[in-house]
Amino acid sequence: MRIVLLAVGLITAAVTGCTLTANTSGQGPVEIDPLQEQAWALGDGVVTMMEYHMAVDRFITCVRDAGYEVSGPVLSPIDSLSLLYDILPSGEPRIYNDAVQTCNLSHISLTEPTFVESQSQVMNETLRRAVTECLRGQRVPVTDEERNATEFAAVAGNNQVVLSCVVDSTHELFPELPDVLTVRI
Amino acid sequence: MFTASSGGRADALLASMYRLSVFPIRARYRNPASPDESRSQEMREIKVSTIPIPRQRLSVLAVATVFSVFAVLLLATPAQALGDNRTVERGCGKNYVASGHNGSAAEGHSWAQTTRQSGDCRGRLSAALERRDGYWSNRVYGTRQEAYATARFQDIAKHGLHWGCDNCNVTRS
Repeated sequence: MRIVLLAVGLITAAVTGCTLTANTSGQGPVEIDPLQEQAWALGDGVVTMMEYHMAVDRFITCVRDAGYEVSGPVLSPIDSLSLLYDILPSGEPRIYNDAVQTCNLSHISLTEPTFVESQSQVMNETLRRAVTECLRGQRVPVTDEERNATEFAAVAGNNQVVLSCVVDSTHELFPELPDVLTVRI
Repeated sequence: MFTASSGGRADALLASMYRLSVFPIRARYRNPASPDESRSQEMREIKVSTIPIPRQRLSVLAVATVFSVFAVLLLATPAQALGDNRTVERGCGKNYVASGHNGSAAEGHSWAQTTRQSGDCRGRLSAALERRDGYWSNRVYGTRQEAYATARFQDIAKHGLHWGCDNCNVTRS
């Protein structure tokens, strides 16, 4: 009986431990209202390029104020709209993750996609040619008329092939770019 | 350990131990032939009867150790790994979460994809990647239909991270 009780207790402890581990790693800040926080840019229903750049500046300042290093933003050659940057993680991962998520929800979670979706994505010409060649090598019937990742994906019918060609070509042609790229298909 | 002069206290201590334990010694302890004999018999019987105690405790310890090892393994083993692609159901609909790695570990890139499958969830989908050391990559906000995140870590990512809305809980793939 003792053994059974002991076993039940230990199994319960193990399962509870797993549950707690899963729940504590990155639930993120849930108390932030992104709509309210980003209302200054979203209020009129349109996010201009200037507002988007201001939102990214605020995001970067927020992350830096939290104690993390962030590189200066650069324009993405993938869509000529998004700003890319590298954040250098340090310290306790859960604290870092929560801090960055807080900054995300406070500044760019709505403004960035709202701005990008309202504009036409145009891929850097050198990159566009490289992606075209890459996709041809994968037997994708590209027409040479595609101007962005979305149009490449429409022809390919396989987002993964496009994603791979875009990311690999970007890193090859622009090795100085941040390691995290944004591809919108 | 129990001397004659301290027999009374020893008896009381033993009796309290027996009440707390499950060891089958009481029936033989209550049947002494004479006081002296009973003392020696008691001591002898106690010595004989104490043999199973450490064995039982050892078995309890063994079981505890085995379960502790299982518990540690359970805690140390991630519930999922990169590429645990599946449909995730929410109250308002279903999303498909997928992740993987293209190319070599050192030079390739990991990716995570969140795709709307069905339902009328209003939130914007997003995705990111979790490094082996626990840090998350920048979260990429997609549309209501799809979100992609890619990152180079000079290593294969540990998990894809997926959100069905801004404040939704994260799902790992």
